[in-house]
Amino acid sequence: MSLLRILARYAIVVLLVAIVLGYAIKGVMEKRAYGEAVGFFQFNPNAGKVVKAAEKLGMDPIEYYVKYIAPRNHPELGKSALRVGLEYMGAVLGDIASFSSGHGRWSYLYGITKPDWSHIYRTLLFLVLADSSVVLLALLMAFKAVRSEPFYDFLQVTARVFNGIPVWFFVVLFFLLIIYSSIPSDLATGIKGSGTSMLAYFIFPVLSVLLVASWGLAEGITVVMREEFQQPYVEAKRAMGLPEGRVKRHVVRASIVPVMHVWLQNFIEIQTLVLVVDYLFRLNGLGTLLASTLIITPDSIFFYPMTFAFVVTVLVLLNFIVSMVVEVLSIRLEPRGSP
Amino acid sequence: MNRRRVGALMLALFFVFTALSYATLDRVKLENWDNYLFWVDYPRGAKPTWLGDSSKTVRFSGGTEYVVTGRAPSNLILRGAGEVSITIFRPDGRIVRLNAEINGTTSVNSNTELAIQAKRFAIEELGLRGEDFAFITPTQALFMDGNREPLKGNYTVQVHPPGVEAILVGYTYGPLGTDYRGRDLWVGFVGSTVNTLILAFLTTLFVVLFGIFLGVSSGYYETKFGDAVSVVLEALNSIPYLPLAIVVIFVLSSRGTHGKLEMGTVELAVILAMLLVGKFASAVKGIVMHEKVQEYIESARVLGASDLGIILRHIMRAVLPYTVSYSTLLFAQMIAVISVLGLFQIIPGVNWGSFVAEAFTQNAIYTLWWWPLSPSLAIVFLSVGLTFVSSSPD
Repeated sequence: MSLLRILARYAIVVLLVAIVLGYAIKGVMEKRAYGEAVGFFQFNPNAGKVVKAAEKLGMDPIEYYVKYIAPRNHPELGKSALRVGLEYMGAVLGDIASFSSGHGRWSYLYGITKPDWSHIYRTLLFLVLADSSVVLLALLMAFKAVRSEPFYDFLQVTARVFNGIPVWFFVVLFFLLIIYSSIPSDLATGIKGSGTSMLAYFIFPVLSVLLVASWGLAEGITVVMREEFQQPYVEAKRAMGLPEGRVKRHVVRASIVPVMHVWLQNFIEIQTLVLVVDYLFRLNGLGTLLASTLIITPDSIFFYPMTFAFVVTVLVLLNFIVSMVVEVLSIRLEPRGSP
Repeated sequence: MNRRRVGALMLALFFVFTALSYATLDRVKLENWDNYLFWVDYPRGAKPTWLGDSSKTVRFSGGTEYVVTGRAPSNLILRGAGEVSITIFRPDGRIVRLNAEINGTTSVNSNTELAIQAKRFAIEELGLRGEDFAFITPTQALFMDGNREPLKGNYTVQVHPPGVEAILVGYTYGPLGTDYRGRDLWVGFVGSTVNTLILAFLTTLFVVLFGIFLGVSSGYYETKFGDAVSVVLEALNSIPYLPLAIVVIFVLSSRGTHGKLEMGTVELAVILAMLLVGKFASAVKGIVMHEKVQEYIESARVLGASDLGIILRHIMRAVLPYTVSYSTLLFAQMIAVISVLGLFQIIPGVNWGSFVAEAFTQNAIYTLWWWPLSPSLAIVFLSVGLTFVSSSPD
């Protein structure tokens, strides 16, 4: 039942994304069709016939072209936004699955930065490094907060303060630290190299995410564990004379499933931080790609929907897989039986 | 003093500071923030005045004394109409006289007549060459010696008639200096603060309204409708908000002046609230589900109370205190969210995110460190204040 609910949840997400994406793609194509119409009426020998046909219908010839002629070159203009969005998300999935960069078909929808697997690798690497650091620090703080009331109080305050501080605050601080100290300034000018040589470029990005995201997760885990400690079975086990270490092990085991759900929510929130930090530190991952989907110049606004589709499809797929794994693990690890 | 008082004091200080700064702000400058042509006469990359560079920016009418100890001033801006004459008494005894007809705002650098006269003085009197003006402005030449070095000493600058407002532009300008387009960063900072606060407030308000409606309806009515609302709320929490917000705002906005996206503040707040309501609505739903199985609710129902009556009289009593306490945190969170979206240029108008993003795009973080630091410090101050206010009484 819970797996079905996750399926329903992500079906809604896909539909929502597809509608907005399809609408954006149709908008970009329509703009292109208006540009093509100008060329058509200047150079095409059939332009006169089209003008006459438009006049018969009482339409502006350009509007007539966009409505009746442009869909021959851009079939998407004749389809619904949802269908266009779903088709293009499917095409992106096909590209990802086949490890190909087959985006020649829609080159003007991709913009300057061509998305490929290297963007996914770098983001996944960053996400894994950041999230494992966040989880480790959060667990350490949560264990301390369960034992110490003043630390729990401190944790609550810091979690609330950092809830209102955007991640770019730490990025700015780290940039200033890098620039005005003896730390190699190379670390602030974008990722270079490959393999292990590029790991150094992740130090400050990971620290930026760590400083924002670990407090909230620590507070969430602490709340779950403190609630578990207040359960009657804990008192019963203590009364039975079980050593405190074994009681704690029971509590930790019972807390695993709710903690996993707290972590899942945090994991999704961390992805926004990862995208922002990736963009600011120029790590050339999905965040950099996302920033390149919308280019605003004093003269024009360019939106590259396929680059956007690539980023959002990867994120939807990633979260869907992680949510399913968490749910399956929850069912298996639930000490009280299936929920 | 307990935490809540400290928080209230911090917030009061912040809002008074913002209100005073906004009330005294030059609105023309704020309206032209994205109009790069407006800032053509201002110094580029000027330091804040409190950093104490010798080359200050001085605003005057009639006349002023000006001391050059390091760098020569970069421009002399004039505001007024009619025939204007400028006389500069230099420390080497030379007197410079410039005349021109002006109408509105102009400067020695941008006014062709004044620029030609300044260059003529530099070439004929100081022996500078025409190609030197690739590296210095006409105004700078008026304060230099024959070796293209600033001529140190006391100058007297007179502008006639006295009704003409003059600004001798040095390399320090206002409380936050200027960016590399010449824009007054103080104007950007105050404008972005006000815009961010207004949008965050409205978004918080809509999140609260939508969240209460969705949370109460899905929590109280365990019907297909309630289930559907719950799944939609969970769906909104299932992917990061950033990409979705970017495309939704892009699709629903129009193109404004200076190539920026344009959308009404209320519409924008509604869209953001719809994307961000999931977490709050789920929390409200939890409270409602906990509350509705309580005995006193069952008693009220047996006594004939309607669903609406139960919700308004009993359920909301549990929901509202949580909402009030949570809304301060939500406000802080919305400020962070808006600044992140601004970073990706998706929020129309200047805001803390777009203000910092500009520092990155202009590579100003390497030189003008006070620029990205100013909204950073403001956001921390505000977040700490809001946290303290929302904390439980000591």
